[in-house]
Amino acid sequence: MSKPLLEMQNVSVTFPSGAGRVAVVDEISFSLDEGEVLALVGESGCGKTMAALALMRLIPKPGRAEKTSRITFDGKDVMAASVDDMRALRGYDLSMIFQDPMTCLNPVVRVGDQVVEAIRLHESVSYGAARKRTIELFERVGIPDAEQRFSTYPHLLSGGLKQRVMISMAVATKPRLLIADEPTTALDVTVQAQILELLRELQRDLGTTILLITHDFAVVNELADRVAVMYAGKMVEKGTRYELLKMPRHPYTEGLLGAIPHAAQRGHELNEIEGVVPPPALWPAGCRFTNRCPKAFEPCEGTLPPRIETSGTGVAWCHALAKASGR
Amino acid sequence: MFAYLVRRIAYGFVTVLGVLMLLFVLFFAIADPDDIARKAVGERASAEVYEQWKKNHGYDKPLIVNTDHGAAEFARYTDTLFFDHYRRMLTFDFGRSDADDSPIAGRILAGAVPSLSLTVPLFVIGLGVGVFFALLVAFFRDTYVDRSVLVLCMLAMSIASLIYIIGGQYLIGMLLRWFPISGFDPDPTVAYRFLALPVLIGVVSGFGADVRLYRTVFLEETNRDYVRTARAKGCGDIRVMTAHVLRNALIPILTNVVLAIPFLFTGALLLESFFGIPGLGSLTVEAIHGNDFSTLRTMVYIGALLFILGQILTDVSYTLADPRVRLR
Ligand SMILES: Nc1ncnc2c1ncn2[C@@H]1O[C@H](COP(=O)(O)OP(=O)(O)O)[C@@H](O)[C@H]1O
Ligand SMILES: [Mg+2]
Repeated sequence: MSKPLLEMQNVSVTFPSGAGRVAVVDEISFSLDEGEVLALVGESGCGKTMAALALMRLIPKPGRAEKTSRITFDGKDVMAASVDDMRALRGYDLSMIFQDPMTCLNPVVRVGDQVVEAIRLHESVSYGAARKRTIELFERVGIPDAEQRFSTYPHLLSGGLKQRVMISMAVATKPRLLIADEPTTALDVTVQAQILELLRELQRDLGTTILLITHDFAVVNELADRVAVMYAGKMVEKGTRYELLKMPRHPYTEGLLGAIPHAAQRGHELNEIEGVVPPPALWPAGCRFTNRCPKAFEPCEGTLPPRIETSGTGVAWCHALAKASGR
Repeated sequence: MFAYLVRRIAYGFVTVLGVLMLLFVLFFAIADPDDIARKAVGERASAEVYEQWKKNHGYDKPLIVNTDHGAAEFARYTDTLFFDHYRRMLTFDFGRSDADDSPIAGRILAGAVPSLSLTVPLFVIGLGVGVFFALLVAFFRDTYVDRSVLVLCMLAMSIASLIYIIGGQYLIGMLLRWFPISGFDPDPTVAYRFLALPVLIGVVSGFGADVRLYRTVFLEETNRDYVRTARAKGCGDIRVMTAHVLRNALIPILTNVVLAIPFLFTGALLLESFFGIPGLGSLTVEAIHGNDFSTLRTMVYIGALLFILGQILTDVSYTLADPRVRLR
């Protein structure tokens, strides 16, 4: 089997907190094969964006990715890459779409020129050629009147159109890997479906590998091949889409699925997870889900949960699972 | 935009009328024309000289109502100080100086050249230096470069501008003898030697406050989401700063400085008087010392006009710098 396009191994991201540093992403690992869509799922604040920014090497100060993290993209050691190498990689082979299209476009630059910049930073083409390509891209991502829209400013576009501009910017150089960080979260429900459809089309046509960050299982169901679930900075379960959606093993994944309205049975109470994610300073030493977990028992709080292979393709980290499987 | 401008200018005109009213109260009702004339001609002057002076300087009419004319005549209200004041100011007919009888308009035009040759370079260089250093410290934020420039700014700000003027004159003018201490020459090939020191001192004394203000603006912009987008598409640090951050930060900076542009015309009071530059700043200071009410009145009026102009320019500059702003 060929090597995966992306390998993230024991990636940790820390921020200073009190006297020391707290790991908001704590030794997570996952990999992505060429052409695959992996969904990184978890509640808000669990570290999904930071994990992606570690890969982009764009973690905001004073945060940083720890030295122990190993990130290999297309055979390159991302952690050790030079500043210039990273710059050449970003926006070319490695693109990212951000959550909030309202604030992620430069307000005083024409939207077309923002895409032109993305092209011309990496390819030595004339402005005219890049402009032509941008207009084609705009048409491709479903922006009506692409020619006129090239010259408008972001504030004149709707959220959905802005996100389409962001997407055309991200796919302009046909990247090997596209990180889509909650690409639909800030949009209206009807627009969400259109953007998802667009992403799926692009993925099919260009064969782009996608790291899809979301907290929405409907999105996972639409696009993902495999799923990785995070909770409070830790990976808790990984598996294929089918495994995760149809037979979740970790109590947290079960809880998340139970919290989706259409998954709850009619006439039954919506099965929400009790409580909220505690702030990083209050995370338990053992399994971080302990205080919200219906299956928590004696070892959960104090010791890290063991890694359990749930199938040939699935893994979960859980004391309760270990006990159930007799280990 | 056009309709907006017309409306703004109309509002501005109303404001000018109000300013003129205030000036009338201050310079004619509170400062009594009789006192002004008496001071100008001296206590011992004869009644004829006194009356003649009042006539020459247009102080020889009643304030608001002229009872020499009948109740039905227009002249009852137009042949007055109040009406003359409005008529002359609005037509830019400033008359003669109370101190030396020279035509005020001519003196203002003559003073504008030295003033502008001091304030324009001061403004341009000061802005350039301020933005450059602010960009630099924002670029090196949270490093020793940033911190040492900040300390320098605080130091620079806590020293009074008089110290800069006197210290600069002593060090550069007297000890090093690089430039003359004071004076002015309209010939550009010579003028720069007279202007170098005041411009330098002006830039240094404004440096601290400017850099701190601009740095804050830059830092605020560097934390915005679109900056992350720019990095994510492969912009390097310098391109992020110049093509993205600077372009956005320029909006608050520009609109901040545009307000100051009209005032370049009125000169710099302190620098002009200490460096013997015969500009409008010096003219104003002289007018204050010399009981020259007509000149002072004119300078205050021009200041008000420039302020109104500055505000309109600021609004226009917003629309030019920021595509999100449309004036209606
Ligand atoms: N600038 C920062 N300083 C300190 N902590 C931060 C900062 N940015 C993010 N964090 C922490 O990192 C954690 C993960 O954030 P993030 O990756 O954005 O979560 P997600 O994308 O899953 O919603 C959050 O709990 C937050 O507390
Ligand atoms: Mg996020």
